[in-house]
Amino acid sequence: MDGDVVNIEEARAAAGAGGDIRWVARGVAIFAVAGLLLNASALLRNASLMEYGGRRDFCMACMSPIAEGSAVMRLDRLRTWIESIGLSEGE
Amino acid sequence: MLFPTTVFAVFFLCVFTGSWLLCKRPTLWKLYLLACSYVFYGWWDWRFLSLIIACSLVNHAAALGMARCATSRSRRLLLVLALVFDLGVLGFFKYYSFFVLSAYTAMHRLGLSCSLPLLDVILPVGISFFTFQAMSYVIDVYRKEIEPAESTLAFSTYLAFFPQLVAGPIVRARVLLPQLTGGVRRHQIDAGRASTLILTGLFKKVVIANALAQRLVDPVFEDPSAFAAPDILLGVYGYAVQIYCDFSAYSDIAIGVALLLGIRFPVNFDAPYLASSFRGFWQRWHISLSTWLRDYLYIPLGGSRCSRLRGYRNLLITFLLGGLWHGAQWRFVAWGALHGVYLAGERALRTVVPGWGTRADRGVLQTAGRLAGGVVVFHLVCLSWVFFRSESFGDAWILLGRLGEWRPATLWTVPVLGVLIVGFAAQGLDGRRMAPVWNWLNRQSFLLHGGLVALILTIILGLGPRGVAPFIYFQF
Repeated sequence: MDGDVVNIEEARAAAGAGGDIRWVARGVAIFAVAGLLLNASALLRNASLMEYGGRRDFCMACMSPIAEGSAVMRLDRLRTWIESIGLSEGE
Repeated sequence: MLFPTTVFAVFFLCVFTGSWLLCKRPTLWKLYLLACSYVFYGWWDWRFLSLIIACSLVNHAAALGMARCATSRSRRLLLVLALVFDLGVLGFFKYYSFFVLSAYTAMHRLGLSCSLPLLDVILPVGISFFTFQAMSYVIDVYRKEIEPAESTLAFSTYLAFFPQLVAGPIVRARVLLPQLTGGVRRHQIDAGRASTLILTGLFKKVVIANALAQRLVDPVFEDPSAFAAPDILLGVYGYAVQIYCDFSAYSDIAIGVALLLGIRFPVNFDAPYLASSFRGFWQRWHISLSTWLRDYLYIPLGGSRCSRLRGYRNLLITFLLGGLWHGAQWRFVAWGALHGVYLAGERALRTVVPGWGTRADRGVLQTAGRLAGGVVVFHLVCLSWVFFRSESFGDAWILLGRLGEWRPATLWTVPVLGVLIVGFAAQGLDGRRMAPVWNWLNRQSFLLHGGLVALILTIILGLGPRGVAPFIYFQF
């Protein structure tokens, strides 16, 4: 059993499953940019809920232009729509 | 620093970039991973960094000493010293107040008055995990199953490696050290499996576990006297699903994150509630802990290769200590004792009905028997969770007592039932069951892969309740 569970990945590595590091790095970069734009409004909201201070100011300064860009491209609508049907309480 | 937070996302992007830039320089790579792991751990409380550093130095020194000692007596002495240190650290930080209070209560009940020194000891995050890893390392070196790590840096990186540092899986040195020693040479990264594990982990934690906790489990367990049998029953089922989704989520994310850094971890969960026996359950639940207890406690005690009664005793001791490992409270001991009794009872049943519960059984009757066994096992495991989750024994008894009172349910809503069913069905994502999805993702372009992962992440974060609750196993 112990060996079997470890071997899931070893077997996959031996079979050459996966992609080259450059391919993965590009994928991660795309993920980071897309994730940031799709969730910018929520990130800005989280930043606004932080305690007043330098850290909050920094986060707000970073997120405000991204959230504006996301709103212009209407990319923030997906998250807003999902939250409206989601499991959040007290909203 | 919790996994499903922006801080961790930024941290991981830095680790990922630096790790792959440095992967051709093994020493620098390990140094970088170690520094990142210490930042990750120090994010909670930097003072406890000294603890993990001391643990690394002491255990590695003992292992090096054992490798150089010629006599078995001095090897044994070094092992004992290292184990005393590890258990001492664990005992002081985790169990000091528990034992002092238990002793005080016992003496008070005997009519003896005493004043015992009480200290307000803060429990360092992940102490149970890294001390167990350190112990397995020195024991393996003592048994000559592995060689000591090539350097203190390699061992320190192994012990502090951030994906599994605070809530497992408990990765053995024989699995992780060889991967750290030579540096990351493989250029193929199984990104399909990594991203699927991270997304399914986030789904289980953010959507299922958090929603169940808020809407069902916390209300029931915080005030069981306010609810009647239908709600209590649903609350107990809810906790069974919540703890599975919460803990397996952490393991999944840890395995996925490590995989993106080129490190392979063993699987920690494999559809545990689908087991038709208790032995099967423990082969599927928190596999890294159950195998640790088997290899370093149960087998040294004599395992099952002794008289029947001693075998039962060994099971009971193993699970009593396994329960105590989870927390310094008697309710965790009771949880462990219940599982020890279950396993002993199951073994006794096997001696009466040979072949019971084995996979060799075929046919309609045996299949029905396995299904019935699965239902019984699930419900007895749920019973043990009552003691695990309740604030006290008193609350657990109140909760169990309320099962006799039938009133119309108030918590049986469509969203709650839906989340519960989806959470139970999430076991279908464990093990190799998602391999077609991993392979499909690996065949896509990086653009589609990255975009799709971001899209699914947005859906998961949007569906879940706001705020991030800590993982349940952080307290252990």
